[in-house]
Amino acid sequence: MKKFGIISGLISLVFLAFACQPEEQAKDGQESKSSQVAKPVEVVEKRNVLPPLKPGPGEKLFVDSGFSYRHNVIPALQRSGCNAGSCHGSARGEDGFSLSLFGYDPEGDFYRIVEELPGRRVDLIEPEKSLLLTKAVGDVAHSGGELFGKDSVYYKSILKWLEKGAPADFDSVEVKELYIEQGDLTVKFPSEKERQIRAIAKYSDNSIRDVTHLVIFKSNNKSIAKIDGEGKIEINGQGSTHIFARYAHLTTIVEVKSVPEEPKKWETPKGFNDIDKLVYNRLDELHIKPSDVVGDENFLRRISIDLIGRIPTVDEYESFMADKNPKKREVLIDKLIASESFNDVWAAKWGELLRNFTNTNPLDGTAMIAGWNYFTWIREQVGNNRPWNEFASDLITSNGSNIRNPQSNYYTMLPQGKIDPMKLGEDTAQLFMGLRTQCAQCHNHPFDQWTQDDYFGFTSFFTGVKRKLGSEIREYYTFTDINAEPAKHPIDGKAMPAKFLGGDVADVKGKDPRKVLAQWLTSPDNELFRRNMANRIWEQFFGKGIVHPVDDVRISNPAANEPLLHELGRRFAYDYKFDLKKLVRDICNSRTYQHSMVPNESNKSDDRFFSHSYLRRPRADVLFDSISIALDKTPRFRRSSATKAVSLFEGGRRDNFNSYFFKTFGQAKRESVCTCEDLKEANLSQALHLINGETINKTFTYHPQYIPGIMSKFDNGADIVRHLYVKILTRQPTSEELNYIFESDPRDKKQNRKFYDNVAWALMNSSEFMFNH
Amino acid sequence: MMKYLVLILVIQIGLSVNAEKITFDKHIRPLMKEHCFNCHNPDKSKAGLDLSTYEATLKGGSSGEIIKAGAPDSSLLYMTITHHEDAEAMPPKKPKIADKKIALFREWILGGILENEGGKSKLRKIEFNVAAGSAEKPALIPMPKQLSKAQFADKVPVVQAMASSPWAPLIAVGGHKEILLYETGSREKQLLGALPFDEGVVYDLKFSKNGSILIASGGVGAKSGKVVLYDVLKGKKITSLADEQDVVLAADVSADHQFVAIGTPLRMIKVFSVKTGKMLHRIKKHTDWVTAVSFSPKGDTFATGDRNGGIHIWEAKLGGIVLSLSDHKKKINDLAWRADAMMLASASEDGKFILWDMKDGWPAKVVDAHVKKSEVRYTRTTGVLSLDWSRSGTLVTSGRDKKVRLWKVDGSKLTKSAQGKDHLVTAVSLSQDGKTVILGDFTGRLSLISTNDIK
Repeated sequence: MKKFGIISGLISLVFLAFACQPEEQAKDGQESKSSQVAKPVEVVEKRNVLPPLKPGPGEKLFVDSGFSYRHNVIPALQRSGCNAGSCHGSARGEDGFSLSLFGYDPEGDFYRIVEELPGRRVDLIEPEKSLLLTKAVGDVAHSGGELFGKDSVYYKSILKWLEKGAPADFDSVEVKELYIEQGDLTVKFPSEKERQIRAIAKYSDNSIRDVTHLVIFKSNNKSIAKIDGEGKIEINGQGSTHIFARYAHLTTIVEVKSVPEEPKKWETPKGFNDIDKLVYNRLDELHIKPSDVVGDENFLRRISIDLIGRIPTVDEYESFMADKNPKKREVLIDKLIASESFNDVWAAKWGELLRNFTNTNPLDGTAMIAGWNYFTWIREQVGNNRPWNEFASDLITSNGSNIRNPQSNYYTMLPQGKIDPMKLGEDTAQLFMGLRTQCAQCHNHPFDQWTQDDYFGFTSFFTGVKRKLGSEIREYYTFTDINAEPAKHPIDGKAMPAKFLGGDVADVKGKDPRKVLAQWLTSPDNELFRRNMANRIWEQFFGKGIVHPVDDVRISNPAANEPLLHELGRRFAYDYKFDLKKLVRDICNSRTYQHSMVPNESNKSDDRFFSHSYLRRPRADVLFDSISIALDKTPRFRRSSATKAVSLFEGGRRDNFNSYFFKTFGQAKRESVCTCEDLKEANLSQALHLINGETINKTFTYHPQYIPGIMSKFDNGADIVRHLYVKILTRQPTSEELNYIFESDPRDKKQNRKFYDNVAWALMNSSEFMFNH
Repeated sequence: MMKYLVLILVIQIGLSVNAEKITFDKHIRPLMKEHCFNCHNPDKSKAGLDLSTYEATLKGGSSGEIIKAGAPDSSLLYMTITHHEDAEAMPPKKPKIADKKIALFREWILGGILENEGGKSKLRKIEFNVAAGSAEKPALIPMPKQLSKAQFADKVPVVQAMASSPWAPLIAVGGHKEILLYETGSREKQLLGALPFDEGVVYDLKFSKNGSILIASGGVGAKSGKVVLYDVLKGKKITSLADEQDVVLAADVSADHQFVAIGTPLRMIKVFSVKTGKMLHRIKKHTDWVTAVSFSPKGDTFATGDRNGGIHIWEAKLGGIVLSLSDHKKKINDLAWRADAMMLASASEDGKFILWDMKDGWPAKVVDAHVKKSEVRYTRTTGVLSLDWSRSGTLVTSGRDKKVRLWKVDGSKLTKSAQGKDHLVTAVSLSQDGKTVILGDFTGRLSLISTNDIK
């Protein structure tokens, strides 16, 4: 008997590995498959690790009938992965049977299980012969394999439900809250190996219930901690990860910290400002030693790319290096923040996010003049250091001509073409709160709290937005119909009144709903807004958000450093009144920003907690401008007198002189508000373009004055090479490098232009040039 | 009488409130001129379509005819202007034309796509002639003489399989491991006994055209599928056919008892020879589960329907396709032939039944039979679940709206009467004399109503 159990267990695991799995969390590459699905379970009874559940004041224990459709059957199907996106939860179902994704529509599922094909899926005369059960236990052929055994609680509760005549109980209590009873989840590694957690659901009648056997557990990083179907955590390595649990439409997470047993052997360095305090607290918690501070050369290069969107010039290098002021870094930061180029960088970033994107067909409302005015307006706001809450509010509440009142291009550029209130709601939530609500249009968000009610309630803020043609054909007028009907729920057509995301129903009677929305959205008290804005600013300087990606905020994607993000958001809103420059100054002056890229033994595997600087490839336009500086080029752009790619009004979209470069280096296409459009990966075609393409090579062929000009300034070959090093890599060559260069070619160094061409070309093609470090 | 007249009138002219005839020349052409001519004219006929004249409009475009008289919902023209999900929205990149205008198009199509006041209606007349070829009355009325005792008569989970003998006062109902046979009176029934069905759950039951053979199909879900033929008179199994990996969802036997055709969840149609038990044809054509199979009362023609709404007509002997009927948008729940083999009725989950002219597969009548907007979230109240067509020409349907409807076909007119029920009626049949309706419901109960009581 025992042997059988093991064999069937093994078979089921093999099946599980190949067949149905609950939906993988998006982009979570390291997820392993087998941790999420229940094994054939004998669970609950066996687990005595935790004391019995005790209700708190005002609470009571949930009375579990064991066969409730809502509380036993649907959770059993969800836990077993039946209604996952890769199985019957997919839009078209699987093998002719479809269920709502993650059970968002229990009534509809009841119809599909019981009524859709009368007599096929359930057999009330011989319940154990119901296809619903024979498929799940693998008695008959099932593409999803065996999902649970006949002695599991899942089998028993479904069978009992069928024996009772498959009653529907849609009116019973609803689950309102899900939490994990965590105890202490800081684990001393490697001597401690396990922890037991318990998932608890709280219902509308204040009853609580142990749902550990019904939730889906997942670990965000299995190499640190694994979790099994019974809530047992197994520690595999050092670091921090999150375990998340899902039950019904609710998701909750809990952090597991696995730290080395022996106390840390280093003194935590003193931070430069209080940002460092928060970062180092977190690093101390996890026993990670921060890297050293970068040298002046490296700092200058990094800060120039981040703040003004290009590498420093030779003059800038020389004056900074010659400066003896011990506070020269602070001085430089202030100088760069005050520069025009700083505004260019942020105007370009916002232009990209807001999809400033023009079109020569005047009827689309996205004429070039509108785009140009929009760009100018955005740049002005950045230049005047307009507080970000006012900026956002201006956009959302904008009305009128998109030529004379350019911010109203919010409603011509985001929805290119037809106005769609749903899309406007989605884009606004993503732009200003980092929330991706799209999922909730069709079903409850699988990894967050958003439901269809939330989605359509938010859509209702935009149902009154209308557009009409202006007095001239390129012009579009945006206005609001304040009597517009709210959005309708797609399932029953019920009107959904305008409702703040995660907040209350808004009072929009007789008002422009967008004004009400903007007031709520941009209030300093709105944590969603202030945290997301602060996080977007942080990301510019680290290549990574504290929540990453910055526009994918959800419960299952927690902040790497919660106190830090909380403080940045608070400070940005209350202390700095949404003044970008003040927050940037704090960030750049922190020791955290000035960490060296060189890791130490304890932080070499860290890629989340900012213990060292991460290698980043600059955006396409920033890299383009850096190449111009390094090669003394004055670039030409089509239909533009701009001298920098970063100040092109709609990015490189229209510039067919350099379009190949922008495309290869992944400039945002401005097709969505997603930050993911701006590709920052490095790939082979980029390297090939720099090696063979005309962006660099033209300098040596068609514009041959570059190297001769430099050669004419110096008598000494080594000085020419030094100059090229500073110009391209912002540093002096090491003596090894100098020796190597001159030994590699024994010909006359002073006069040979070809030789220095090659040196410059090689430096331009080094990864040191292509990356910010 | 007065009531009938009003009903007939309403059905005849569809939704039209005023009695004026909608014609191409007077109503439709001006609308076409306003919205369609720009792209669909003789000089610039996009998609091969010219809408400037009546003839050209009827001819259609590169994808064939765009209008089916009497069936707006299946007419491509109507689908495009109503922005139906299966058609390209027209006029392109613009909001829908006004509802009033759409209604005109609808009436025009329902009214028989008249060219002008004196134009000829393109609606088909449904001519019904029982004598034209219905199977002749057998010499011996096939009532079973010997049957085993029913074991589980009270254990019928859901009546999903039920058939009424075309000649005897006899119905067969799929029960638990057996098929229950009842003798029917006008309002009551009497259990005669049972035929064993050890193969699993019965999914479909049919009497052969002369009533002497009962064919049962079914099996064990995702495990096995079988078809069993019984001699009704002797109460004995004749043979069993097919060996499927999943249940046989539907099956029927040809009028001459030569062929059996089955439909399966693997999207297959298979044709067997009754004599040899050998499979003659294995046809993969349907795009989803084959949920209905029905043989014509004449010859070897049979119809199959699937879960996507597709219907195909076949020849059993050669295994070749005769027609494809594609006007339903959802699962076909039932198929029934008229006794003269000239017409096929199809019942679908989309709430419609369609009467097909079998000369050429023309949807002669498209009827929204059981369509009701659900008042509560998530319930389904649209769908025709079952359908039967008696020898005398009466049609009966049951639907998800928990209604049973009786339809009398006369010429091109259709009159209906209805009765509501407490439970979903999952199977419906007419007795051999067409006077009694037998209902099988979701709770396993059987009940009988006289057709006179359905008003």
